[in-house]
Amino acid sequence: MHQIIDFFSRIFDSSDWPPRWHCGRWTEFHGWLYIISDLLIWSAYFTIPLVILKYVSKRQDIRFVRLYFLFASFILACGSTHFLDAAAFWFPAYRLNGLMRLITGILSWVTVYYLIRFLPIAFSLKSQTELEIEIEQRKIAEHKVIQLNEHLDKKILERTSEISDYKYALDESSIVAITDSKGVIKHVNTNFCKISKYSREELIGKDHRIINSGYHSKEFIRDLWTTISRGKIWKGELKNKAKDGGTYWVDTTIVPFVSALGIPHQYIAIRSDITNRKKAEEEQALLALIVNSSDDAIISINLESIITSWNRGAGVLFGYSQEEVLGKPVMVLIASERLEEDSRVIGRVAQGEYVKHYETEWIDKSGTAVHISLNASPIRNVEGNIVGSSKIIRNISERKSAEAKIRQSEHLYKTIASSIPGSLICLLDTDYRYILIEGDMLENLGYRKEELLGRKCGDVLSANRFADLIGDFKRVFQGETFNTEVKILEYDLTYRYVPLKDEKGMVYRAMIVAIDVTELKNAQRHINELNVALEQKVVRRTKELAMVNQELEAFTYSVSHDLRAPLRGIIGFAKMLEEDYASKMDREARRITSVITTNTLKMGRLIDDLLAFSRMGRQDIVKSKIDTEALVKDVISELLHHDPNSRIEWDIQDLPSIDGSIDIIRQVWTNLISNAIKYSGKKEQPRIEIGSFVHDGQRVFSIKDNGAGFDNKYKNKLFKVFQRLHRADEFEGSGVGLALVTKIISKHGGKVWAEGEVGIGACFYFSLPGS
Amino acid sequence: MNQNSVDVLLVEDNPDDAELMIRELRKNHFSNNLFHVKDGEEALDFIFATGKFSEVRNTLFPPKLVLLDIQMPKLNGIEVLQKIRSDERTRKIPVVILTSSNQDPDIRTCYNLGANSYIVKPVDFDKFTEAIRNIGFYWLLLNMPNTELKGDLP
Repeated sequence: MHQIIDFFSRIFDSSDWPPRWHCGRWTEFHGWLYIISDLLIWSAYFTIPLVILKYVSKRQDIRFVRLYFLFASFILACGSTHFLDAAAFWFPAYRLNGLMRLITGILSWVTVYYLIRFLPIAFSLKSQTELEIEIEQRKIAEHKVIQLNEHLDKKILERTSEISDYKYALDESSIVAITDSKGVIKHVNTNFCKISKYSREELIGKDHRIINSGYHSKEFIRDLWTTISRGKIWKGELKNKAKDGGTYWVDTTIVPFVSALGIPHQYIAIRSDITNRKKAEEEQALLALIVNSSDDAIISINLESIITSWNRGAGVLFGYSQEEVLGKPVMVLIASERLEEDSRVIGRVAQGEYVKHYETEWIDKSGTAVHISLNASPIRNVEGNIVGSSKIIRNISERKSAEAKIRQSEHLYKTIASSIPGSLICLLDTDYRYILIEGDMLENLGYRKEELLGRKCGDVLSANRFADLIGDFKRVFQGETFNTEVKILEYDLTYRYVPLKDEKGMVYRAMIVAIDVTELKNAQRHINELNVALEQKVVRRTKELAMVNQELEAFTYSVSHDLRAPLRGIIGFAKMLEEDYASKMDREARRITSVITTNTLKMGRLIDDLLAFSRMGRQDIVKSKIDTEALVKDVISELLHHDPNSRIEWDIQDLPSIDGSIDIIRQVWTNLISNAIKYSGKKEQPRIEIGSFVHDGQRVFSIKDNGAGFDNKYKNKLFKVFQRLHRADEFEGSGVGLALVTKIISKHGGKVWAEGEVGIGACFYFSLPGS
Repeated sequence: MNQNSVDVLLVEDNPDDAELMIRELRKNHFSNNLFHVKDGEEALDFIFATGKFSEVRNTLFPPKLVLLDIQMPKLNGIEVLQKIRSDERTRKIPVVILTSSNQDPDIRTCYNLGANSYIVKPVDFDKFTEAIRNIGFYWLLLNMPNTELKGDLP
């Protein structure tokens, strides 16, 4: 190992050996022979690989390249040993020389291996002679082939020309496409591109469905595919869709190309454009449809007046079916008296004239005359010769009867309008022209229908009258409905203006209805006069009443003054008698004077009550809010003022405030409570309840005592002046108090009533408006 | 009686009422200088010293109080009041209206005309005498008379 390392580390070291010249005995000649020979070998061995490499690098088809390179390396390595041998005379690098020889040996053996392996192959290559012979044979064969090819080419050319003629013809005449078994387009011709408006590039490789219009049913398309996928030819008419969305009709033949197994591997579709034909067919169908769906009868006859076509409308109108009339003379439809008219029409149409709608009567299957409007026009053939005529016939029976109805109703309205007494109806158009004018008032006003009808208001009315009316005309034509009152001659008239509007709401007519209201007006005037007279009467009566009232007041005054004075005198002088002659009067005399005084006082109270009652009738009610509870308490305390030790048990509930005239409502409470006190005064335990409730929307107050009570059958007498249910020796009283209460409450709009039971007690109620 | 030194002038046409009033006033000693006239005309003659009073009366000495009935023949009390109040010389004389009437218009009229008091004569004798007594007390004793009335002496 050490030697090996040493060997390689000193590979170029020559110091271990003397140069070759000094090794042994070399003559100059022998040495240089050796040297020059080695150099010659080296130079030759160096050149050989270069020549080989150059040769190899130029040849493209060289085989055994590795062998060449091995050989070149082996020669080069051999050359190098010779070169090192020559150099050893001066530079004895035996280590390098040894290594070089090892490399040469290895390369030599590798080359031997390759030679052994590839030499048999290399030697199997033809020899030059063999090759030349072979080349000669080949040339002969080639010549034959060329001859054959030429022949074949000629044939192919012939065939190609033939096929391209066919293809040309096909391409020119048809729309051609080839698809694979899945329908992917592999070829299209120019016509296909033209009609589908796609470019070839856009189509190739696409599914054939690109031109599917969707017009045909799924069943139709499925049938197509079923047919061709079984290898059968399909023919039919297809509607396809172009790139721009437009459609076209093609008469289509699809031929499947079938493999040996009978499975189609491609399809060729050959189409021709039938769009125009289809369109024409569609138009024709549409026309037929139109003709057939027309409610008008459309028929045609030939020059011999034989019916040649008969639509549905004709069937409906005349009751004949197509089968019944086709081939029959048209005269079956025409009454004998109309035949002449018809032959005239036929004559005119035969001259090429178009006969406009004229109204006539034909006969239907049942023999009934049918009102029709008919026009006739000539039918020309392709050459322009008249071969018959077509008639369009419209049933106008309904229109006729409608017209008759309109005439009747118009007559009816006119009759109605003209027969309303004291009226006038007219219609104006937008030029203020009289369209209609009816009614008996027309003559009364001094006009005649003939003078006005169809003429403008401005032309027939007086300038003043027209000036009066023009404003109203404008109003009504602006769509307003209104009334006016006019006096013309001795007539009072009410005019009603009514705009007549069309569907768009535009006023196209104005209806003016004038009604004679003279009598009504006169009656109104009469009523007004009566009213004035009545008012005067009322004023007079009021005055009279005021006078009576005044007299009454004067009377009251004198009653109050003059009747009281003597009473005062009686009492006064009786008193004087008592005072001044007391000593001369016995007991009886004093009793008598006291009776005189008592009665006179009673008389005074009576007069006072009567006056208060009478005054109440004339008093005005001035309402204000009354605090009822405070008022009642005040009244009670005032009434008990004279009797502070009263035994009365009071039960006063909540008493709401109420609107009323306080002074006189106070009088009511005073009278009722004092009554309750008075009539319960004889009871062991007098009890008075005062309460309140709402009844019939009114506030009701009640004053209940447990006193003497009264018999219910007399309760209506309670509230009348001077009516009493108790004798004066039982309970004092003037018989005015409750009458006064009634008067006050009724003046307030309320009511008074009472309930009672003898010996048990009484309850008085009064109500006031407002709750 | 010196008719120029009258304390009370009673104007009353009803002799019964007059008698009752005078009696009551006398009982209370207010009647010493009381003069009774029986109608409105006579009352005015007295006050203005005219007619039968022209010789014996002087307007410079008006009565201290006039008790005036309303309802009287010839001139009624309201007219008399009106005359008294419309004359500068007499318009300050206290006038008490005494009447049987309790009618509202009269009361209003009298106050409007400047009556000092309005008394309704009660029918009840006791109340009547009480009223008269009170009038006497009030006007002749309690009330301070207007000194101007006499201070105007020439």
